Amino acid sequence: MFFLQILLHSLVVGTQVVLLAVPLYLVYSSSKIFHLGLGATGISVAYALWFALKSGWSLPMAIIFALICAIVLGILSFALLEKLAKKKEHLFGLLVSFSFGLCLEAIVAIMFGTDGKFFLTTPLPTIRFSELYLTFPGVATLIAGVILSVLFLIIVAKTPWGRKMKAVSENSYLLASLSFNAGTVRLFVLIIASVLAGFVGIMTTLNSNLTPNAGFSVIVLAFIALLVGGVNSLKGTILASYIVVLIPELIVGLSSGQYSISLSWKMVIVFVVAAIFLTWKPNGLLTRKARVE
Amino acid sequence: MGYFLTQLARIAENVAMSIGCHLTIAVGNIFFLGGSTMFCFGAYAVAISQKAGLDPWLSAIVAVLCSLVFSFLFVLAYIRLSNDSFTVFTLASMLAFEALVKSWDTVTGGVLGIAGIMRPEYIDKLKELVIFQVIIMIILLIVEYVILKTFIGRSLLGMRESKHFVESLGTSTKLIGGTAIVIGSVMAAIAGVTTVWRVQFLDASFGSVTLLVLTVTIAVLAAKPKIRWLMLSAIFVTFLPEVFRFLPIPSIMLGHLRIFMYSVMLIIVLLTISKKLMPQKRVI
Repeated sequence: MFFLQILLHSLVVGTQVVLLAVPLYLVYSSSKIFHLGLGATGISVAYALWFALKSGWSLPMAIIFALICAIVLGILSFALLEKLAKKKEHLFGLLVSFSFGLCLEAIVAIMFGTDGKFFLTTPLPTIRFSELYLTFPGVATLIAGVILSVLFLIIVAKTPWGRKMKAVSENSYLLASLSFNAGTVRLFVLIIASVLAGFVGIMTTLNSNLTPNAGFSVIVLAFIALLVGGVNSLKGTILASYIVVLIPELIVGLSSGQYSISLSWKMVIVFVVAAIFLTWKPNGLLTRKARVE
Repeated sequence: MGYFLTQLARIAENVAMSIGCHLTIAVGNIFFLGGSTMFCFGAYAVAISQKAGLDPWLSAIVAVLCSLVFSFLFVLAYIRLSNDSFTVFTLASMLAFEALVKSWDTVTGGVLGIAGIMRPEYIDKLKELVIFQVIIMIILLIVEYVILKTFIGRSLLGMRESKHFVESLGTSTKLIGGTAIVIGSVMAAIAGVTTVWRVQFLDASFGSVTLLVLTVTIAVLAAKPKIRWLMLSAIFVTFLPEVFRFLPIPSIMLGHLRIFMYSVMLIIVLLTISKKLMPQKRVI
């Protein structure tokens, strides 16, 4: 039963990582830029919701406010990254998005302080399945994660939107000749990515406390999942998100006695596992060999 | 006098720390963000060696040698991974190292850190230590200058133009890139060693994101592969947040304002002078 509880908890955390890894994949697919600022974007949206609720707004109004903040941050990301995406200066894009994330973290810290904030002052409502239990945000994350993963898998692989998104990063001029605007596609993707990141930010911090730099470790975890899964494979990314969460959780959870490992080792284990895996398969879990021009 | 010495020490530390970043990012166009990890590694290696009973000078040598060995992990990643994956991997190393330091408390002191790190003989006073740090900075700058004039420097500059072109001349870009990473890592570790001697205390927040942004900003702002640009850039970036000291801002906010300022500066620099860093985009 203990093993099943670890598995269930890992599923929730893995889904949180999936929900951040999917927008990372979308941004990468459309602009070939690793958007490191998505974690901070998510946390900023969570702060926006917390601020609105704390100010006495009703829940629907607070959600609309958080949504507007997510859209604004998506547009801001677009304004910063578009020039570099057009010029195909992807590594500068990575650094700019990283700095953008740090800016957001600093602004949030200046505005709200670095002490932990809580959405709920009462214990979180839980749902029980015989001896197993899950918190309500955990269940919501799981359901949203499954629905959105399937939805994006279908959109990316089977619809013209997915093909258009990939085409943008490959050759935006060719796409423009077919009367598609590459900038609009990237803007749309960045807004969706910010909204998704905001959802993850809220769900993650509902389970724990809200701090300005809470997004950094989750985004790095999502990146590792993206690298392990293969940056060009959404299926691989989703699978790897669960693997990078499950392996350390199992190692920590099943270690006992003299060889007991504390939870704080999790990130070290993730890094070591990822390093070994990427040395073995540098292109990721499910990436097929692509043609080289 | 104390303030002046501290600022001088900070410049020396930042320059020493940024040389690796400058050599990899600005000269070779290799986005190596593990400098902060290596800075921390050097500092912890010297503190742990001292805790084990080694003399401070000997512990510094041990720390540098350990850093040299540890840097090969980054070289392995550089050889195996694509450019952007390597960048994220080096960035993740910072989080992993921080987690390791916090978790392995029997060795690293955990979140409480290690206090009472001793300065070596002859440089146990702040003034002498700062002079030592400035000498180290000058030596490292000379090393970079010499590297830039040698085959490695020319190959790194060539890699910035075109990796394929350098390969076609029979030079292994992986070997040259790996060498730059090792040199950068060791220099960052040396900066870590001298910094920990100055502050004499070490905890998990020692090589934070702020330090990473600071060094990347210095390296990118320097842009040109010239050491005088690196020096000027380091002085400018180190002194810029000092204006906050003269403003009525609560001290708790100063750290966040500094991060904000460095991040904004890095964004502006990257969006405006990136052309200088990417000469292959030139149209002749």
